[in-house]
Amino acid sequence: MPEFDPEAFASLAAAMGINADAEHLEWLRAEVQATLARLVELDAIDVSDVPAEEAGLRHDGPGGAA
Amino acid sequence: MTTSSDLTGLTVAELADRIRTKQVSPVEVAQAFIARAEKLEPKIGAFVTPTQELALEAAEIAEAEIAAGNYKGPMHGIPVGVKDIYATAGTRTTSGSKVYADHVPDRDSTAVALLKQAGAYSIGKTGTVEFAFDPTGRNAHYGMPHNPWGLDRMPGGSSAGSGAGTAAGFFPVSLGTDTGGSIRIPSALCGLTGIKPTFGLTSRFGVTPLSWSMDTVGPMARSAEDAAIALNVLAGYDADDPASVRAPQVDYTTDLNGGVRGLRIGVPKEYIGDILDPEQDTAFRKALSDLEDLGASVAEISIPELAWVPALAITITGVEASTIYGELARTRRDELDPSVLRRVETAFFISGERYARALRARVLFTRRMNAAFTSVDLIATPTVATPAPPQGTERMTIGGVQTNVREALLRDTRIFNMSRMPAVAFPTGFSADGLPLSMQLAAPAFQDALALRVAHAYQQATTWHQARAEV
Repeated sequence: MPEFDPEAFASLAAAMGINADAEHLEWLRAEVQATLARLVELDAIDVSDVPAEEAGLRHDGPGGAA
Repeated sequence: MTTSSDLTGLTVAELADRIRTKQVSPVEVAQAFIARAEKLEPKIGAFVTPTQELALEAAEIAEAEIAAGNYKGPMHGIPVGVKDIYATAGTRTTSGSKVYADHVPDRDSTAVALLKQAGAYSIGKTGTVEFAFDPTGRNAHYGMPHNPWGLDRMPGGSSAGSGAGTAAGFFPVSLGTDTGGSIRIPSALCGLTGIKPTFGLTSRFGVTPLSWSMDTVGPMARSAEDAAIALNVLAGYDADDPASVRAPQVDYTTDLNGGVRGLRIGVPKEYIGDILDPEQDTAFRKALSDLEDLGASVAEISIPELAWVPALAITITGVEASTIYGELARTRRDELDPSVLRRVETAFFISGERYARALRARVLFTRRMNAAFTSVDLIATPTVATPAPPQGTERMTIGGVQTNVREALLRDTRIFNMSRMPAVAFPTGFSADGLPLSMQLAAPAFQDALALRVAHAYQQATTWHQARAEV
């Protein structure tokens, strides 16, 4: 997965309302990078069997509620 | 004769029996727990806001009610530790945050209101991680409570004060909440029994949210029987909670003595052993063997999708928490706990598309878990990968594997937050260092009583849950 360029990351963070010093942003950049790398595995899950509009609503367990 | 110190060592069931038969009065019970808390709180730090005067007033009311013949049931006259994310009318509710240091709700959360209706009362608001967003128990504003089994050890979180205080004998039962394990982790680290009920079974109204699709209210206690007694009060439909479910009314104590004969317990062969302390593993295997001796059968099952759990949890909890606390992170960042702030900010970068994908994958995961329950009645895993780590630990080596402490604490509990199924954690022994070990048993959705029944059967045959920490 491509790495965030520090300057681009700082711009993106500012656009998101993160008003932090350079040290914090550098820590956050590494953390975001590591987190997003970990989440790539979600992309390999075939979710086509689950309608998106149901995913946030259905409990899908016995009772079928919540 | 029962002395004050004896009273604080009793379970809810034992206290209730003495109160019902008027061997002891609610005021005597309150005084005993208050005296113990006053003596030992400087060592433990379980409370954010003690409410001892209010507790005594409530105990006096309970005493008068019982004297007048209006005994309400086994929670009548019982003091409860209340995690400081439950709204309590007239008593400040900080949510573990400096931002809400002076917040005084004008209405009780549903759970607190139900406990009051049952004749129980809060003895104090207990320490929590800010917004319940960490499994260690840390809190930069109010401090991390100390684990009674090792004062230099983490109590676990986020229901840290409820765990430490119950284990220290400041109250016999407490309220926790569980989004990724926040009832079961402190229960495991502090030698308690705690149940994360089925999602939707207990009301979250008036409880500070973290992740609306997984936040769950439940009790932490010294036995499965006590957890069942408390769950009887807490379970029920509440129109004020959009996730509340109209489930059949169940008495969670009725079938406690049903035993385990003929029940099938599945143990996942994937994932749970990847990061696992050897002592935790040995105690887990011994507990399974004990359950077999009681008449259950234990079989290995395969659920490869367990590997999805960390990514699902990071995505769903992170995005939902950042939705709730994003504005605070932008406007009052200097007032937030740095570890919470960083987690909220990190989640800003998770796309909406990925969140939606995670929600869809969670449905698939739940289907897979439901399928697993067609061949077994319960699923067992260790509750946490390690005994209580030393406070301040960030990274650790477990069974030769380098990991961070959050992963070690969360990886097994959050399986059942993803599937939104009930799971009860209970003690299975002690490490060589004298720290509690724990396993969890999960059941299909709305079969909370089954999980409690099996934990109770185990506790009838063993004594681990009876051990008390020497503080």
